[in-house]
Order: sequence, then structure tokens, then C-alpha cells
Amino acid sequence: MYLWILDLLADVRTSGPVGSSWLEVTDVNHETTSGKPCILDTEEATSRVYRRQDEVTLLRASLDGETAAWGEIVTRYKDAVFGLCLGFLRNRADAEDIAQDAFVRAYVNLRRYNLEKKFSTWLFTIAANLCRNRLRYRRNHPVVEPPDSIPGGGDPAVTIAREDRQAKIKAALSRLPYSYRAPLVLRFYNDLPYRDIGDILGIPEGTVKTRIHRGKALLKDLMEQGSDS
Amino acid sequence: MNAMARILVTLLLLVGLTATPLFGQVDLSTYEQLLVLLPLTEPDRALAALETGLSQPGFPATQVKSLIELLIATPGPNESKNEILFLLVRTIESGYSVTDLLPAEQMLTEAMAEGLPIDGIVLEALKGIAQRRSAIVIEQGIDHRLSLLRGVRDLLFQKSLFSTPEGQSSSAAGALPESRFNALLTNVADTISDFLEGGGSPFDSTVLYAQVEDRLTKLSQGASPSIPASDVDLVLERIGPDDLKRVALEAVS
Amino acid sequence: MMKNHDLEDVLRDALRHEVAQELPQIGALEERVVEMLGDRSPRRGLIDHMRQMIAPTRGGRLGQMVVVGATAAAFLMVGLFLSDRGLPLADPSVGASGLATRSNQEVLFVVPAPEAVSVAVVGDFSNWEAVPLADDNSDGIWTASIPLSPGRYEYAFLIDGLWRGQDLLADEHVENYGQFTSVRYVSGGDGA
Repeated sequence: MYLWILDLLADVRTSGPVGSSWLEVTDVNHETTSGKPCILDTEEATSRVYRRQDEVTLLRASLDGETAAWGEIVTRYKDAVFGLCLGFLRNRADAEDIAQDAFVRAYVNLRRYNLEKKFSTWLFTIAANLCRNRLRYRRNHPVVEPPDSIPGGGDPAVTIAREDRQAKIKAALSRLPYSYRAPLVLRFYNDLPYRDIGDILGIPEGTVKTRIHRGKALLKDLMEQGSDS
Repeated sequence: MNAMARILVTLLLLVGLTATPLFGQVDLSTYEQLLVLLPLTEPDRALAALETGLSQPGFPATQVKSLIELLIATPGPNESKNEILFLLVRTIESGYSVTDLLPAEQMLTEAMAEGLPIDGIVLEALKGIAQRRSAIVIEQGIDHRLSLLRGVRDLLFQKSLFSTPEGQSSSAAGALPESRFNALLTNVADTISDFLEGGGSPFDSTVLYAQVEDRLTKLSQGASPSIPASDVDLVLERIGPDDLKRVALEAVS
Repeated sequence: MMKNHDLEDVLRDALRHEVAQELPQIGALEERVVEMLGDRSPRRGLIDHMRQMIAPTRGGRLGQMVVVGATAAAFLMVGLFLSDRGLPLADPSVGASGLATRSNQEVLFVVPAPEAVSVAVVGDFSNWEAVPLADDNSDGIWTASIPLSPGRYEYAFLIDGLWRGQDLLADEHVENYGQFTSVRYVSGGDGA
């Protein structure tokens, strides 16, 4: 009983073929930087228009099959989703794959998104699940690759204290077990509240707090180990 | 005695049993004697359909008799036999030409002999009849879906996932009880078939994989799931998008 | 020894720095995603059933919410009223999935079709034979309640004999050779 309500709203507002409603609305307020009425190139026009739309409007348009509207959603969430994946998976190639996969999956399953929940939470949940699956798959199909594939692990010629600490913490993060790493990334990269983190990872809020607390302690230990070399 | 020999002997016995007159005339009593040997849920309905068939010009009575005999002689689960015959019944009831669908019935029977779970494919064929699709399309659908079913089964075997007969158990990680293996096999193959029939391309393997994952995950949710979550994890750990692409490509070529 | 909030700052910076370095290298994600999707629509087709029931309004959002709320309430009331009526049932499908009939869930099928003379549902649970729906109070809403064991069921409605494969209450739809079918997942305990 969730998304069909959205569908219903969309159709009740539409007078023409599915998908034309938003065009009608925006035709009325089109503006250009020069203030003149214009005959815009369609693609240029649509992306400019999408940039101004609010999220619900974009989601509705995406539901109607406007993949370009979904493109705008991807743009808005790219950093967050890619960052999540990179933090979870610790290598760029996998993170890229999964981020792309997450956006495709989210679109394909848009019907099932429950409007009452935050869209970002839903999207991040898909990404987190895909990351977990990838890690499982990787366990059974080990690829020969350097232990820390993130570059910047430490250019010995340039050891500024801050960079050095960053390099150490990144290495330590890679060594953390997934169940500690994931909440840390969601908290300190995506800046999410504990409750959202719990929703995304499917664990209770209390567990989130414990994992983060313990995760930080583990990071410290790992970093101190590293500095003994 | 191997399976082939067993089938042949049974067929010979059946021929003797049905006491078909020398010129091979088939009548209702022929069918009546044969149907008794099948585990049917609606035997009266089956007989009524065959009676209707016999009254139609061009009804391939002898071939239908051979099909029923084959069904009796072929080893397989009772449910599957019932379903294959039920498909024949619906074919006649819905006014389809039995001649057009006989090859498909035979394919299903052979697949059953291989131990493949054909129930999902029979349901798809029944759906095709309900949609009034042409017999050719229904027949091709059965052919393609059987092909995919075999392909997915081979893939599962390659990934060391296999079925152990009910009642036996194996400690190997990929060994699943027959019913659970068949549930996975049926659903993965069915998802790929739906994807291809809906116009999807095997090269869209990310989307295809997402759909497979989605279907299996949904079936593993709730208080009494059809498929245990651990089975879903097992399959998704071992199979990736490229595997599905390969299977789908082999099926369409 | 690092203080706690120092660690947090370092972690934050490190993660942001990482993404800032890696993200530009992956190119135009948006374009690739859109390209992969082609012109696939997550939801297809028109919602003609609902149109029949609800006059299109161009009223404000409040008006629309009232309409939607009324519809939802109607469904809910119908569902509550009918949940323990014994409506015509299909012969349990022998082959659907070979499952034992454990923890059957009563699944409600609802079709708003005020102009129809006959409405039926066909699906995996009925071997694709027609199970009639009933509109006993002649309010244009046809219903049937069918007990289903856990699993996945494809189905469609026949409204005056015409195939209608897009049920709004479905969990998903499949398309084969251009025709749609609805799908419901039944899980023991909470039902779709």
C-alpha cells in the first residue's frame, strides 16, 4: 500500500500521457539565465530543469520512466553512495561497480520504495547490502591484489604529520572487520544518525553505538601497532 | 536393469495390457485403462477431455496414447506426471490443437526423467493458454525454458551445488535436499526466462543478477519462507552476473 | 596517543580525502547508469481501474489526499469485512511448488470494476483457471479471498474476459512477450 498511492497521485494530476505532467508544470516557469524565452535543446533543457526539482518530484518522474530524472538523483547521491562503497569495500574498482549497481537496482525497484521512509536510507541500504554480498563473493573468489589498494598509503618522500596519520588510519580501517568498519563509515563519512545506521545495516541502534565505540578503540590500537615499524 | 531397459519393458507390458486391436484403433476404453496407471488428481476430467478429443477430426489419438504410455513408463514424481497430463487436458479443453503441443509434452516428460523440476514450466504453459497465446509460442516457450533450466542446473553443478535425494544427507557445504535445490533451480531459471521474454538482454547481466537476487531474497523473507536465507546466501556467494550472462547467452543462441 | 575526537576528525578527513581522490577517476556514473537503464520504466502502463473509480481532480493536494485516503479506507474496510468470508476457492494447485499447505495465508484480491459483468482471477494457485470474484453489494468492487501457502504467485484478472495483468496491489509485475502478469509473494505470518 505504499508506492501505488504515489502512482495514484501522479495519474490523478496528469491530463496527458504518463510522464508529461512535470513538463506541463515546468513549461509555465521556464527561465533562462538571460531571462529571455528560449527554444532549448531538449537534453540541455531537461537537465537544467531537473537540477531545480525537489527530490519527490524527481522520484515521481523516475517512476514514470524518465531515466534522465534518475540521472539527477544519481548526481546528487553519487558522492555519498560511492563514498559508502569505497569505505566498505576499500578498493575503487569494486566501489565503482557496486555504486553503479546500487543506482541501477534502486531504479529497478523504485516501485517498492516506501515513501514513509527516507529515500537516502533506502538507497544506502541497497548499497550496503550489495557491498556485503560483494565481500562474501570476494571471500570465495580471492583476487591477487595488493593488501591496501587505496593509493596514498604513504609516499615516503612527503611525510607531513597529518598525511601520515591519514594514511595510517586508512590502512587501519582496511584491517577492521566489516561489522565495525561499516558503522564507522556511515557515521564519519556519511554523517548519519545512529538510527539511520541501524536501519541501513539491519542492527539495533544500541548495537550501532557499541560497534562505533569499539571500532574507534580498535582503530587506535591498529594505528599504534603500525607506528612501531 | 538400467533406466532405458526398464522403460522399454514397461512399454511392452502396457501394449499387452491395453490389448490394442491389430490395426491400432484407439478408443475411450484404451485411455481409460491407461489413465488408471497415472497418479491423477482429476481422472474423470481427464477422461472427459480425451473423449472430447476423440470426437474431433484430426485428433492424433495414437500419438496421445503413446504419450500417455511414455508418461506411465518414465520414472518421475507423481506431481510432475499429473501436471504433464493436466497440460494435455487443458490443451484439449481450450480448443488448442493437440498435434501442435505434443512435442512439448514429450520434451517435458523427458525432462522429468532427467530429474528436472518441471512444475514451473508447466504453469507457464498453462498461463500461455489462459492468455490465448498461439500454440507455437507456447511450445517454444516450453522449449526455451527447459533449455534454461538445464543451463542453470549445470551452472549450479559447476559451482558445487547439488541435490541429495530426500532422506539422505551429505555433509558437503553445497549439498542441498532435493526440494530445496529444485526450488533454487526453478526460481533462478524462471527469473532469467522472464527477463529474456520481457525483452532483457543477456549483456544486461547486472540487472539480471539484481532480479535474481531480488526474487530469491523475497522468497526467503517472512515467518515461513519458501527458501531458507542460508540457501540464498550460498547461491549468491557462488554465482555472479557473468555466470548468468553465460547461461542466458547459451539459451538464446 | 590520540584523543577520541581527534581520531574522529582524522577519520572524517581521511575518508573525505579518499573519496575526493577516487571519485574523479571513475568518470560519469550518471551517464553509465542512465545508459544501462535504457528506456526501462520501473512501472508501466496506465492505472485504468483506479481511473474508473476516481474522477480526476485538479483540486489541491488536500483534495487529492482526501480521494486517496478514501480509497485506501475503502480497501481497508472491504478487506476487514471480507477477511473471514468463505468465497469460492480454487482447487489447490497440485504442482505450484510442491509445498505442503502449512501456514496458509488468506490473500485478498480486489478489483474496482463498476462497469464489469464478470471478474475472475487466474493464477499459479488455480492452474490458470478462472476463479470468480464477487461483488455482492454491487458497489463496483469485486473481491475474492484465497488461502495460499508461502511462495511466489503469478496471476492476472479477467474483466469481462479481458486480460488485466497489472494489479495495483501486486508486489511486482512481469512481462512476457508484451503481456503483463502480476506477482504476489506470500510469506507465512505476515503476508503481502
